[in-house]
Amino acid sequence: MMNSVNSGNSLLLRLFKSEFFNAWIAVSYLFKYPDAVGIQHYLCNELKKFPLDEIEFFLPQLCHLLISRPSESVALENFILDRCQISSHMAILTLWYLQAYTSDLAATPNSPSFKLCKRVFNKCQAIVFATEAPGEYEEIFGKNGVPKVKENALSAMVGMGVMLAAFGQPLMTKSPGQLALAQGRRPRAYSTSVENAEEVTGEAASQQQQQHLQTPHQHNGTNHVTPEESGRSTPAMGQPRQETDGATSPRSPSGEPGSPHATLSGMNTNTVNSIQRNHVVTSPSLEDLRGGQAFKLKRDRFASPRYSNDTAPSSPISLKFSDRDSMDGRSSAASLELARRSYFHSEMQFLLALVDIATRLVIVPKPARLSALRAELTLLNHNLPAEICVPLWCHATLENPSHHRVVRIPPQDAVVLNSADRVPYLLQVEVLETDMSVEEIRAQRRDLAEPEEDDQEDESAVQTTELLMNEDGSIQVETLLVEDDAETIKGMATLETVDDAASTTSTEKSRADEVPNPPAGSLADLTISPPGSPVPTSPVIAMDPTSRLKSPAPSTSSGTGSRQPQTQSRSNEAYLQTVLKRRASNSADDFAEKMRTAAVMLAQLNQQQAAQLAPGANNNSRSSAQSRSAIKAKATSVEDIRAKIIKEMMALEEQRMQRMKVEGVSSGVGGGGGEGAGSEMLEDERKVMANVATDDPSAAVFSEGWEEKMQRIRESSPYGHLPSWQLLSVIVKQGADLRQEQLACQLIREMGWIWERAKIDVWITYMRILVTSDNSGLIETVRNTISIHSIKKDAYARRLNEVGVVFTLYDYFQQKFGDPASEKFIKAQDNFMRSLAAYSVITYVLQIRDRHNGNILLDTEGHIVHIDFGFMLSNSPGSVGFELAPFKLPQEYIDVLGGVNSEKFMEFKALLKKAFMAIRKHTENIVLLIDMMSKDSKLPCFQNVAENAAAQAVRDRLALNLTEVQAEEFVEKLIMSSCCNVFTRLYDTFQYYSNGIL
Amino acid sequence: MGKSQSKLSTEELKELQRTTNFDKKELQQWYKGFIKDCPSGELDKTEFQKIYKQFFPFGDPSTFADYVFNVFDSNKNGKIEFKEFIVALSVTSRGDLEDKLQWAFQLYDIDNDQTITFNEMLSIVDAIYKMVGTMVKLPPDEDTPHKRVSKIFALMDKDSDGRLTFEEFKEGSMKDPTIVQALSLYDGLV
Repeated sequence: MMNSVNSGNSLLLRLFKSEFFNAWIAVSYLFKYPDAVGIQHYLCNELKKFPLDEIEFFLPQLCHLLISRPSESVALENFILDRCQISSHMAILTLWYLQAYTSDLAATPNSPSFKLCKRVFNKCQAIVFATEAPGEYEEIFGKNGVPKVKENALSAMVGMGVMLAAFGQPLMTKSPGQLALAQGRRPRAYSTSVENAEEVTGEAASQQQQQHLQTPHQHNGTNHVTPEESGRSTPAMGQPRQETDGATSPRSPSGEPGSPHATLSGMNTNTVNSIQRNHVVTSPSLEDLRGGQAFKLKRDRFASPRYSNDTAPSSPISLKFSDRDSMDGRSSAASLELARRSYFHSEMQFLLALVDIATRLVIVPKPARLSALRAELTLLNHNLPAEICVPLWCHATLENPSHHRVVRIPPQDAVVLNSADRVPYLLQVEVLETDMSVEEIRAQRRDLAEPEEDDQEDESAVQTTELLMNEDGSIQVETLLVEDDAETIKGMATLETVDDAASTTSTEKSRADEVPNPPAGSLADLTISPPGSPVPTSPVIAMDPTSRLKSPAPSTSSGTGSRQPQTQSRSNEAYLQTVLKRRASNSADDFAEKMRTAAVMLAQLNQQQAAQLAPGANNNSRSSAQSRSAIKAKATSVEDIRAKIIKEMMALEEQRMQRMKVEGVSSGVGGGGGEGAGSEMLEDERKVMANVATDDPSAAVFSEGWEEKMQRIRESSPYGHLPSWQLLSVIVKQGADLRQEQLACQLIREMGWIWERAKIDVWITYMRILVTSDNSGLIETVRNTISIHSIKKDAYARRLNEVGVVFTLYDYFQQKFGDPASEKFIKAQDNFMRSLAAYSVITYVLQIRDRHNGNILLDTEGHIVHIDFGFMLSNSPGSVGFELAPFKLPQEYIDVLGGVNSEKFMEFKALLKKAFMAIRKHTENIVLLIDMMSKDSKLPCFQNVAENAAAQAVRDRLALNLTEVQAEEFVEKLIMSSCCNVFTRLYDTFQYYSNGIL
Repeated sequence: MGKSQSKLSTEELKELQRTTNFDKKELQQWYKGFIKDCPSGELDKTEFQKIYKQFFPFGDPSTFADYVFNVFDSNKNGKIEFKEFIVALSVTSRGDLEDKLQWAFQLYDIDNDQTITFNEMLSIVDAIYKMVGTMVKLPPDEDTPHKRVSKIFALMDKDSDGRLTFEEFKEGSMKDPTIVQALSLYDGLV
């Protein structure tokens, strides 16, 4: 076997050295020769020469290759980790992928894949968080980043041979020597009995084994968890190397004995799954969020001896970072490392916080979810701006390492997308482009000595905006805030009673008092005499000293009392508004906190119930600040309390709906209609329709275009005036594995590139998808789109057609773009045609199924966009196997194009053919991405077929055995059989009757 | 020893502790590793070549691998046993420069007559070039084995007798920092 590989290898090298060589070829040969050590190392070295974004594109495949094919070679593992050290985005993405794989493989903890995954995960984590224990870090990366070799006899024999060759030709020994060293560092697992101990670290000395069992967990326990345990890790830090104190007392004694981490590591020692399966970084607690510092590592963490005393660059990370950023003289590598750690910590915490909100929303009753979501986000906002970017959206690169910074999440523009059993939500994230570099973080860290620094910065930003707003006299913004205030106070009034769960009746009464009084009256009051009315009626107006973002520094120390006189002393209207705004935001905070408390209480009640069902559960363990009231009311059954909380939440929600009626949908729904989010939008839309049926219904559809929305948010944002301000729009999902969606988008992107290179003028778009675990992530929204289902639903709701007459896409095009002969219509028709041609090929080649109108969007320019790729390649929606057309081409599409005999339809056919032929020419580009993901895949799209079969099926669909001419005929047939396919119509009908999708 | 055993015997351990720079624990660990990689407890020439082919996929390392094999196989029985391996590792990772050079000299002194002839050197360098192939760009005055060997002899063969003694070999190597560096590959890492 070796000989056959060898004989072809000189040709291979010629290919690798040719001008055609690119990242794709490198990746494909990595895939083809997983066990050829030399080839793997060569290709990985070559891959380092390609830009990081090219590598990032292949990252899902590379990770899958790494995990699914444990090989003799360590090249890929080293390569990925090396890239992680260079790129913070890559590190975070990789960590999340590996975490997802850990879950996938948890059932087989003894498999080589799981062990490999665990090892790389630990290393990646050590990179990301530059673990606090020096011994631990060195264990993985060696002293000064040069780890010792392990007992790999074979690579040692090669290494020694290379040394022998030094005399003959020293120039030839350098890279083979490094290769032998790299392979020599491969961890060894000797016997199954002690495998666990040795495998994690690969170290062999038996006196260290015990230690090694412990160290990985200490990762978990000591670092980057919640700020509460900040000081904890310091005691052991001064010790030069852990080995010195022997195996008897690892580290736990120096930590708090009763701390949960002690238990955690103790427990883990006995479990096979010693990997940190639970999130290393936890989402911030309510206390952290209130404190506004949730995404900042506390200062004392940075005062640990290691960082203050350790001036020598202690890790490859810091070295690399300083190389890259070519720092000024003062900067020490250590402080950069700090900055880096803090950044990673915050970033992961932020994204986890977003995902956790989605988790909590599941428990909240549907009608109250939107309010709960906004409450959560309001609270989250206090912790912004923070040193956080959103990977994939952030443009920072190796060459230009300045990240964007998340500054604000406008809560009013977030919207819940109810689906069957999960609650994804859509939110807008305000960022400042190129606002943050590691250098800058470092600078800020240095300034941490002056604790108010950040606040002052924020304050100035806010004040400028206020000035701007006053000049514009943009009253709407102010009014909005006032309304918040009104609702807020009511919310507080009612929720306060929940907190005080003793008196059920009074709760009922107060709610009864509040709800029938629609906010309209008080609203008017408020706009007329802003400062007076809300304050006295409010039972709790305790100023939250933690709302640092909005309130200027001096007032943080003063309470309600000092504020009131301030207001009176200055009658200046601008100032009044400022104060009003501040108060509004403050009480909005309170409201947010209450609402979140309610949500948390609900979650805890559920937990409690579960625990009570479990035998021998200890009730005390659950007591925390938030659930105190719940425990107080132990006499009442859990169910009662739950019912009460839900009632309160519903009451709040009723108020919100009332307000929505008064003001129109857009304020209530936050422009959800402006962006296609697929079938999950239905629930909200239905609600919208129910509410607006009497008013102007046009608000629901395209109520607000992206530009409009961005402008509106920008105007209302204290950061909007900054030139680098940008808005991102994402859907946060929990309970869904987004890896298949990601694969689909990646394939669409690849196809888009093929067409671009071939200069075929089709149109596609793809969403960025950030996988944060095997059941959570972020999806980019497609701007200015709405599902065809919604278009039709809206049309019927507005009775645009005579009763009984079908409203088609063609009708819509006319309604939206005007006369078919008009320039506007023709442009939209052309857009439609170019996108339809592309998506027809895409859906056919990838066998994307479940193509009902809820999964097909239309943008404001007429482009069609497909979303939701839960069914593709080999799987299709359960029992219904009748989506048999090659792709969806119903009569209404043809009508939009002008009928089967029209010129546009001919153009469509010609373009589709060209697009098909281009993909056919580059079949392997597509196939590789699929093939690499298919081995031992957990993705549903690979479940029904044997390995490689999915990729082969793609080749088959592209009819590679046909000649060009034959292939064109083949496409013609595909088009004709798709044309008005009876199955397409059937599927739409089926969807209508079973799911109400039009 | 030789045949596969799960552990080194006490006598073997004692002997190796005496003859190498490794302690008992290290010897035991390396033995485990060796047995894992060569379950039979020994390596023959073919297996040895195979390893080299893994690491040098683009060239032909078989000739060079054979020369190296002969250096390892100190008892010339056609097999590399653990003892031969660990002794070599001890020299290359923990020996001083003189030890390493002494060990390396054996490779080039193919007929074991304590001198390296031009042709001996040429055979080895040729094997190295074949092994690495076109992977490394070489300066024009070294881009063929012959040129390289001529250069070596021009620099090191002080008495111009067409042979390198160990002294000449040693002196020449010490003067070339790239050789010294290459010889320290495993220093501190094993």
